[in-house]
Amino acid sequence: MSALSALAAASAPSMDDRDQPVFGDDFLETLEYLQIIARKILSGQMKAERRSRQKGVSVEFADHRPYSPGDDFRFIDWNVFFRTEHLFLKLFEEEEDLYIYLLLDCSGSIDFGKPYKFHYLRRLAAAIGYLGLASLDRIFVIPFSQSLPRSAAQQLAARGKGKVFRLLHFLEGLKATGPTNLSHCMKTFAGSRRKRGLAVVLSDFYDEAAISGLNALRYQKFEVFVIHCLSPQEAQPELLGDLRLHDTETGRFREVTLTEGLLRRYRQTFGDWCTNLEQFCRKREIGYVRCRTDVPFQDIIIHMLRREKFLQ
Amino acid sequence: MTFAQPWFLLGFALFAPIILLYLLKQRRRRMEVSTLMFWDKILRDEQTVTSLTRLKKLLSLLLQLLFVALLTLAAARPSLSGKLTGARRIVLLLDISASMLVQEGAQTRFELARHQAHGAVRGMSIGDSLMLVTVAAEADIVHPFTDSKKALHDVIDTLHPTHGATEFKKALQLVEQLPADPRETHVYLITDGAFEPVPINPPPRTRFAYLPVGGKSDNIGISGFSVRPLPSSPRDFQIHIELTNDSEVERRVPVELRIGGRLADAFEFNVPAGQSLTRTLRQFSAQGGEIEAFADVKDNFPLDNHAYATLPRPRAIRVRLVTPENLFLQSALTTDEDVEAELVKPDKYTETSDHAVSIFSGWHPPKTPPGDSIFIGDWPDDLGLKKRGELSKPLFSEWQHDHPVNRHLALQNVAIEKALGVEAGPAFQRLASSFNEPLVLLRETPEQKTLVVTFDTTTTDLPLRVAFPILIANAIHYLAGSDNVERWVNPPLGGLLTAGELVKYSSAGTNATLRAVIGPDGTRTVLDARALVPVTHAGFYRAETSADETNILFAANLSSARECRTAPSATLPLRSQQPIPEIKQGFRLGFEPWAVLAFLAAGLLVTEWVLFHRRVIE
Repeated sequence: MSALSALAAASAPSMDDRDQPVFGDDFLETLEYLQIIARKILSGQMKAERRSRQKGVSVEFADHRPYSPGDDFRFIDWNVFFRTEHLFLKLFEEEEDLYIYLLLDCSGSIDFGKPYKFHYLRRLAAAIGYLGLASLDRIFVIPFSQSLPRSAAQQLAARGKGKVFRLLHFLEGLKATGPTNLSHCMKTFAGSRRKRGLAVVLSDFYDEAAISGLNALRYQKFEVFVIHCLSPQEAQPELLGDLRLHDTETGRFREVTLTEGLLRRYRQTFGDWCTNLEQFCRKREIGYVRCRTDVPFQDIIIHMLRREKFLQ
Repeated sequence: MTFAQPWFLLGFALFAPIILLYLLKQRRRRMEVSTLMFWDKILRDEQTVTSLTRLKKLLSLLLQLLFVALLTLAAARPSLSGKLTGARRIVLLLDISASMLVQEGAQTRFELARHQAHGAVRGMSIGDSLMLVTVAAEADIVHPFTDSKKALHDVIDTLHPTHGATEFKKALQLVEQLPADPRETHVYLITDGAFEPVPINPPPRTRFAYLPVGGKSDNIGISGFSVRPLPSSPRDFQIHIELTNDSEVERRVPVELRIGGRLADAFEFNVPAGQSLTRTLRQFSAQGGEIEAFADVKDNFPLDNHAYATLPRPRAIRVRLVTPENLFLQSALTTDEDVEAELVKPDKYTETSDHAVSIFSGWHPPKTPPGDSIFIGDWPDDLGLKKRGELSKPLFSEWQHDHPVNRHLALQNVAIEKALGVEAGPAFQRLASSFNEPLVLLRETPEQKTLVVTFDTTTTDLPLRVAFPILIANAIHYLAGSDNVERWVNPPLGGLLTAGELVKYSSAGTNATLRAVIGPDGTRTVLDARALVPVTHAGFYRAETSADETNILFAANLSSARECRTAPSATLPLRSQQPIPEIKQGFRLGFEPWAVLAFLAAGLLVTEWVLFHRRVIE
């Protein structure tokens, strides 16, 4: 048995794990394996710290740009001025820590499914966070539902591998409740953060304006990565007959008589919606991973590392 | 419209709970979903079809109500009036005669006819009623008019062919005598038609159809067979046999004759094509028993290759002759092998004895003894026959030729010296007279029979004639109640015999000894006062006596040239001066309304299921 399959077997989510602990006894071991695999995948590409796309002050030349009043004279490239008689500023790559923002959806719609979607998302967040901490990146875990947390205590900022227990403890303490307003949360987040970085949005994206939220991140120069989480009951519901549907997010009821035809239309609509989101991300070079909760989360992480060039 | 089971109409009460269940708000199952976002989107589009959904619900209710209504009506078994449905009155004449036993491949003609009869019953439509009549020697109504197909099918399954001849005339008389009915009468003849066309006067509104069974058949059979004891000697008999060749070529037919199960003789006859051959075979002698003829030919109708007859065993009749001396009479008695004669001198005479017949000649007792007696020349006064003088040289001028006592007698020119003149009262029957003067008289009462000869035979030349022993034998057999003539005549097939009629075939001769009759097919009919024994099969019928013995009773034979001719008729075997209307074929609803209703109900059930409950598994 390969290390990967052993890893998958050891940590495969059970079908009904809502009442089980989010992180089992072997979870850290799983994370260690993930890190080893991540290192193999990223070998030769990682330098302990990643270069930022931000331009700043360092020894590595990046680019020129025309001078504009107010710029620092020290960065004027006089050689270019003598050749061209135009003022240009030298730009240098800014070396800084990578800021990884884990925007974790904690709305009521996440409190659903078998396997439990909220557990699944938190495990994914923990895994990504662990990889980031192990790479000495700065990790921010920002739960959101209708709005962002107002106090710093409701968020997590950590750096270094030693903070992994804090990360796990923080994730364990989260609750999934309330309606989603992903667009508002993303806009608020993008407008409030000075430091740009990698914004990993872990959500089911049950918000009509989710795309505008992602756009807000893009416009604010965040590198965005979308982890779109679904449960099998959402993708392929097995409902028939006269039903009273209860929305776990809003608490709203809807009476409906489900027929095969109606179910077909649901699957079509749901599939179209997922496809639209994916196509939007692909077109705008946003990393996108769709995961079903019946797939082991380690597989998703490896998929992200290999195919989606996550953390590269 | 009427209903056979109207109480089932209470099923309409089920409407109330069904409607109530539809009016009640359905309690829906609660299901958790993560978001209603998609359902809202889909169902927003669905709003346009809400009215259609309501209509579908209403349609579901209507379908279910209609289903209950149809099922209720079907259970109540409605029947429609005949006028509405063009109903018919059907008479099914099913041939069960012997020729229906002809083998047609793997089946007999009767089995083919049975299929036809079932088919005719299945073809009954709404309002039809059918009467089933079997036709053999008699026409029997085995089921009166009914619309119950099951009852008719059951009866048809119980029918069996008989060995009797076909007598369609009686069946058609039955059809002619049917009471009037508003419906048209359809008569189906299911037969091989192997008989001469039967004349008929077609009743009004009556049509006929011929449902033929069987194909062409080359058959040779014994169409006539009988035995007859010789009058002069009951132990000797002649055999009369008739063979019929119903084929297109002359056939040589070997015939074996078995008496008592043992081969007695064998013959060969050339029977011309399509003709019958009659022969009387030479004399045979036997002490009675079973006689069987067997035509050793291979054909499809083995039944007529056998013929049966019985020769009754002679009964010993105990006779006492009370006379001083009468050698002629003694000699005449010894010639009859059926008579056990005992000579009694007048001085040894006793009034009571166990003899069947007492003959007095040359002497008579002072009183007429009990039992049957013959007085020759003189008689006691208490007999009631008054003497008046003597007749000189009388002659037999007239005698009753057909009376059993006078059978086979030639009495003309018998020389009689003298006879006693008598005044015979009405109790006496004159068997022979001389110009109105009685010479032989017979008195019959329920208790006894007495024969009186008014002349002394010793003074005549009668003892020298052949007629004398015949007269004595006839008189003894008649008085003793023996009647061999009838005992060897076998009853016809298809008839019914009473217990009384059976006695004459019994060699025991008394009713008390017969307990049951066993037919050739093994059927046992217990005899009681009202028992009727049907003669349905060819072969030997045996009697079971109270002494646990089984004796031969009589034989029954097909013995019909008509049944031997088995080639079926191609056309309706009826003839009439008027044209015979035939049944027109047409569409008819071959099942009852309840079946239609039940079928529709099942259809509705399927429709409702398809529309509202069908699930597609992908």
